[in-house]
Amino acid sequence: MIVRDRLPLRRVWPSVSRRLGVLFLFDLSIAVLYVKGGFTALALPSLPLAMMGAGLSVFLAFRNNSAYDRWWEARTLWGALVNDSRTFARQVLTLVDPVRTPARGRGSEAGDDDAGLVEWQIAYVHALRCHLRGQNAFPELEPLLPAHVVAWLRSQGNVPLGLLLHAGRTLRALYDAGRLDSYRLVQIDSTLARLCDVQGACERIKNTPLPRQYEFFPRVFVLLYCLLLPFGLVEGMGLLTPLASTLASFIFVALESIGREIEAPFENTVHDTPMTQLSRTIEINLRQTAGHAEVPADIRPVDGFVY
Amino acid sequence: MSESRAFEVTFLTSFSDTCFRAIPALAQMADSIDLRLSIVHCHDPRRGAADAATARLRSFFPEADRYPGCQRRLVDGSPAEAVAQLHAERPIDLLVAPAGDPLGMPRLAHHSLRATLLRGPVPALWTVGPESSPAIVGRPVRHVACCVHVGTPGDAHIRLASRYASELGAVLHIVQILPEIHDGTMLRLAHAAPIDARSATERVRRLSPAAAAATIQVHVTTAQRLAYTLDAQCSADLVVVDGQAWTRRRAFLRRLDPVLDRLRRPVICVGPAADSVVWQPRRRERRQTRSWPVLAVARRRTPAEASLAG
Repeated sequence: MIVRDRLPLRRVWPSVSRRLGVLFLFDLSIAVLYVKGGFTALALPSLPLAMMGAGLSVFLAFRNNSAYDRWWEARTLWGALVNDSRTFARQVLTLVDPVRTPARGRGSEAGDDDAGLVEWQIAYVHALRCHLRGQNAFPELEPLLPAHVVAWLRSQGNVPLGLLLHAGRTLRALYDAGRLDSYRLVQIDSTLARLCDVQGACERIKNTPLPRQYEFFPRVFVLLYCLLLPFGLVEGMGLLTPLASTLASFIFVALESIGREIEAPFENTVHDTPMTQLSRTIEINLRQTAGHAEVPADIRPVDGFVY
Repeated sequence: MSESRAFEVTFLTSFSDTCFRAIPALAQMADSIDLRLSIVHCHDPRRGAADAATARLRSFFPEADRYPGCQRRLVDGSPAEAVAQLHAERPIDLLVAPAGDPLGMPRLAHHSLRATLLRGPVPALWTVGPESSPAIVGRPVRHVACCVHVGTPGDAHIRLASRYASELGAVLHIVQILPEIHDGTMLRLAHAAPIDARSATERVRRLSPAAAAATIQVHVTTAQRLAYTLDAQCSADLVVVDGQAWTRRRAFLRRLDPVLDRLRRPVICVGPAADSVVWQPRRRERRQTRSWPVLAVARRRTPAEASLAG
């Protein structure tokens, strides 16, 4: 996600430079042929182009709105994940009856008592982030979870889902051990259900792209419009046609590329939902909630971008 | 390199978009082989304070802090000198150097940093271009493609690719690249090594006995069709090339062949230093089970137990 105030041109230029360069040369050739070569038949009336431009603007606006909705929904889902993670940690720390035995204290290596569930939630958030980005989560999970749990998770195709199942079984075990009554179990399990809903919605965005027609046709129509534009401008603007036409083309090309860049918010690009930063925020909050002595540092933007 | 030394991987980052896009590949590498990761950034003091650069370095790839032995270093000076200095302190087995951000304009006087690093002491350079595919970069390495230019010497990259493939249990694809066809080609090919599958396989096994058990497939293609071959015939997750054969020279400037950046998948360029080192990554032992994990949950104490304890 871009958090800096001003977007430098060097961030935008590489994605549009090639197309604009080709269009500029094309526009220049049209202008030279018309003005110097005398090919007056190249001039087209501007009315059809104006209508085409209006229709294309509506089309691009609809497409970009849909892309922005997906981007914003992804951010909203991760905001819900932050809230539900905090809720879950608070619930397991306050609603689960604590037990301290001589052999095992708080935060034991077995990791399946209430403190282990806080670590579990941290692991779940990192696992979900890696799952959405197509990244191997196990180097991060191994320090957080017991070895036997990690070994079992390696057999699961959907690691976050496996972690939800493991948490559910842990809650059931706590209930059987008398540390949770049925009412509190239902309350905490409803938080797990909300986490599952967040995961499912994120997977829906990840696995269901915008209909391909919304990518193919805008690109074709923008190219067609940019190619026809100099024919409509050359009669009135002469040798200034390349400048005007390229500038107008830049607007449409930029609009088309904006929609394409933000429609997929989980692709590990600079336009993503800042899952890494949000994961770290959740971890910091949960560790402080659980009273851990060592808390990782916050993640700051790198060159105005957060991932 | 002794058997007990961890595989040293140094990630040289410029915080470009491609560096962030390479992170899933590093995560996959960390789960596949025993490695020790160092994340290095070369800071120019004229461009800002060291504190700001340190903060940026700490915020880059933050999940690596959980990797065993991971360290972060901010180094002043040129990247080539920094890498040489780090290599002198602790030999680097693999240098990760993704491409920088594209400018969108032709770079006429550009001297490629990656081409410079390849000539240094590090045996292998892992890189990926701006057009890399996220779906390919982060996936497990199951197919390793080794590009061999027909008629050119150099075996280090074949040895390295076969070792890597055999260690990971991946299929090794030998992609033999035919030279451009012109009048002199037939004469040159007549003196080149045979390119049939059996000869290529024997050559690999001779160079690397560790690859005796590996599955080897042989393909023949041209430089223009290399991307298609890697996609359609090899499904390559990783490409290993001879760095010198893929370095282009124009006047006094060097750069990596742009074809490598357009391959959409990670590329390991093997440098001349690889001839004199033993390059041996070790596969991580990973336990996997379908059995439910045993849950050890302490039960609630009865009032009698509580009174005894209290």
